[in-house]
Amino acid sequence: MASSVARLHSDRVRERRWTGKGVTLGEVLSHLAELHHDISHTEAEDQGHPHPRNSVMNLVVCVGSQARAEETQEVVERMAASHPLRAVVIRRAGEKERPTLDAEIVTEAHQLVRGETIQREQIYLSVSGAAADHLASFVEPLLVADVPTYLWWAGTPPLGERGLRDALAICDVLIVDSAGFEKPVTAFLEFAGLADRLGGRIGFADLHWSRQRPWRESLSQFFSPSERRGLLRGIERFDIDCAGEGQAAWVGGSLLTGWIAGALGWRLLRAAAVTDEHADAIYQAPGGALIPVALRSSGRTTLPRGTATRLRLEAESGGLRCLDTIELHPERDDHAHMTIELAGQPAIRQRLALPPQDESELLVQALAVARRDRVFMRSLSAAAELQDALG
Amino acid sequence: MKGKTRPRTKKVAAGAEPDGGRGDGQLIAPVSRPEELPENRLAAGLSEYRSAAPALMVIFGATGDLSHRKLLPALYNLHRNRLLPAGFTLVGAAIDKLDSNAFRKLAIDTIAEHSRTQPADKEAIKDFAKDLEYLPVDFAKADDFKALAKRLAELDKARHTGGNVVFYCATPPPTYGMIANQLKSQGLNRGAGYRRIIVEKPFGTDLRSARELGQTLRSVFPEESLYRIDHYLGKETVQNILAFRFANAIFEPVWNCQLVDHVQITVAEPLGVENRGAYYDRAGALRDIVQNHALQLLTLVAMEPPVAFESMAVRDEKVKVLRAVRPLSSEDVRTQTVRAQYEKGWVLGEEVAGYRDENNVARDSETETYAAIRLQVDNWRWAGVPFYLRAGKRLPKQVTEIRVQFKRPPHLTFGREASRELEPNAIVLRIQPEEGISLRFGAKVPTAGLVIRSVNMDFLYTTSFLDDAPDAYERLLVDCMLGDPTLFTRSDEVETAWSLIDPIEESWRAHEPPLQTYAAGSWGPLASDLLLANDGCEWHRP
Repeated sequence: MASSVARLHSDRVRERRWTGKGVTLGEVLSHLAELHHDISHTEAEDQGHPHPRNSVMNLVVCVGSQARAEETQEVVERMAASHPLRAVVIRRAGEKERPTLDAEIVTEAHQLVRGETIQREQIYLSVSGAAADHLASFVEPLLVADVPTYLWWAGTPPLGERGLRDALAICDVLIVDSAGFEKPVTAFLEFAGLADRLGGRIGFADLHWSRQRPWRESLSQFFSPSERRGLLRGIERFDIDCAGEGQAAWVGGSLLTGWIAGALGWRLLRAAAVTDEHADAIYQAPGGALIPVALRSSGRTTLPRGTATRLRLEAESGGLRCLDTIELHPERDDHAHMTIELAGQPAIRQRLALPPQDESELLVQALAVARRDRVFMRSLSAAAELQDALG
Repeated sequence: MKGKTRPRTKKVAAGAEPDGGRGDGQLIAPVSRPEELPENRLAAGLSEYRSAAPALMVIFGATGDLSHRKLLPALYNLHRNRLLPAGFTLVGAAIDKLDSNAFRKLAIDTIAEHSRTQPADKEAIKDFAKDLEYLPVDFAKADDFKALAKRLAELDKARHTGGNVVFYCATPPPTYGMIANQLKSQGLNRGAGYRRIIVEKPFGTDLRSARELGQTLRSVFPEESLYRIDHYLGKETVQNILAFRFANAIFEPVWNCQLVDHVQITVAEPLGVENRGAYYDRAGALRDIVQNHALQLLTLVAMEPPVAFESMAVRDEKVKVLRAVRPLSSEDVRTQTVRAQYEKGWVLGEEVAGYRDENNVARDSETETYAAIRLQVDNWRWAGVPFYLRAGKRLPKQVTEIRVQFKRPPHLTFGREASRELEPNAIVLRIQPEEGISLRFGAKVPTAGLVIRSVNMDFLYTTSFLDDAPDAYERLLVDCMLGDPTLFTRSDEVETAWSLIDPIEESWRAHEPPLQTYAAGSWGPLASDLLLANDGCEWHRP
């Protein structure tokens, strides 16, 4: 997928900014309206009426530190250069601190080539004290009506805590990055549990699922030719190696395994860690065939934890044997090679471009899919079952 | 969703149009073909990821302009986005005496220059180039096609492409018949997999030549294997016209002669004839743009809802619209059409020469560089609604748009004075640039008095979606490999369009109406304004 994160020249961006410390939400709302009015009428020039707002979403970002707040603001800024949105970045400064609300508002008008403008509005709030557990109360008044609200929890979401539950009440989709969870297995299982409980009401997305998309695409592509479809029923073995060390690396592998298992109706029979770096599982296909699956941690640390570094799939159907291997370059993260061996004929080798994807691009991909991604939910559920079995 | 695999009833025959599996071509048959084609369940959720089966593609005219500017960059971008299947191999075929290495080098340079994604990824280009081959082919020489057939058979075996081949004629239209017949003589039009041929517009220069071309191609390939490409239809925003009309409940009730006053279709470009003077001087704006692009837009804006977005249904409805367009008599051509040629002027801040001073253009040329036509669609929906089409070169800017102008309200509730600045409602479908849709409506000016003024509400296509739109050729090349002809033009569509254009062309060649002139950089001749003024309308300034 091509990047849709645009970069704009600074001379095409008009900006208004307001900052306040120890303010009330009423003041924030008042200044937001004032800046919006100001920039709209500046853009209108002699046309007599401002260009209407063309927001496509609210994006609420929750972070735990000032540094992370700055990083995520940059991510949102890059994304908003071409996709008008209202972003509310919230730094939860901790319950025990003195209750204060610090705020910064940035509104921008981006002039497109033909002269039309689009607007970005970003509100940064630093919340401390008990209010940090009542996110909905000060986020909801800031939302643009009638557009979906995405909640991106940048870090490990406090899955059992009131603060998250409160925030979930006002959002349509929760976005996390399971590759960055602090306690990977526990948090992943809790996240899957939350998705299972609330999946009927809101959507769930994982940046790591977006990160794995090229691997899913490539594996799916192998089965596109009609004469290879039968092989889907004849998969005999599936191995996956993932970046990182120990069991934490298997979480990403579980998600890919869960994707295949969910799609093909495989049933997990058993799973066990063989060593600290290697686990085996046995699935049963709908026809009764047993399919061994191996998860390994590759020890590679240049990639987000759990990113696939090698997939290997063996299958046989109607006399046609195949081996499909997708392997990341041993030293470079920007491409992999797919090798297809079919019926004993010479192998076909294809290079797969894997351009690095920063958070803004992963976020764009997560936002571009349907709010309820049923394939992800199914894969998440199957991955959690595998992780649970591995203990 | 877990559990049973849902069988599909689709037969394997999908990929074998002419006589799948008969094996009288030279390519090898696939290893196995089950009776029932199971769904690729791993593709679920990868919605925009459309993966075709491995195939060989032969581009005739691979060293030409279209191949360099559009096809190779489009295929590279498909490769870069992992949308070309493993095994896909491109064979360039043209008269130039090159070897594969020289062709690869040429391709690498041209992709770096013309790719829509910049800066181009040098490693990805090099990797793409590995799957390129080249064979010198003189379209008149049977031996060259014999060598092509031999090479394709070898590649099919080595690359597991199942006998699937797409032949792309990126060559001048007069060569299409010759190429097709040469393919037939070598048995390349049929075989184990699918065999499809893509031809570029123009599809003939009039009804007679279009029919002849159709007959020639159909004598080699069945109609369902003929892919007539008009890249306009591959544009996301052209397809969005159908989404706008048929995915929303609120527009269709007003999309008819009860509320629509008239429709304007504008295809304007600031460029002159550039290096196409020789071609353009024979074609003119009517054949070059109106016969295809402008009439395509008319069909999409005027068609009835198809039963489904699939090839037969969509193309049936488009043909119905063209058949409902009232043919122009010679008297109609005199009063309902305008033809004009640009003189020197200023465009985009630069002084430019007049048409007759362009390279490869006759100094006494009568070819029109601007065409405006008033058409009527004689059906229940559009009775009495004029459709104004205009297309021209050296106009002030590049813009393609459809403007649906609505009738005025039946009664001025707020009085004549309050509504003095109020214009009729209008919906503008902008195809390019900055694709989008705008709606114009009246709103009260926030003053002490009651004054109503028109305001525009804009939807900008690129800002509202998070994905980059692919180039039209990227979309259409994958469509062809997938066997989806919905966005390609069918023969009856081509012929019906020519049947509308031929009488106009005939009168224009007889100098009726007289050729007008317009200054480069203006919106056309005065006669074009009068065409609408006679109906109490005026051209919208895009």
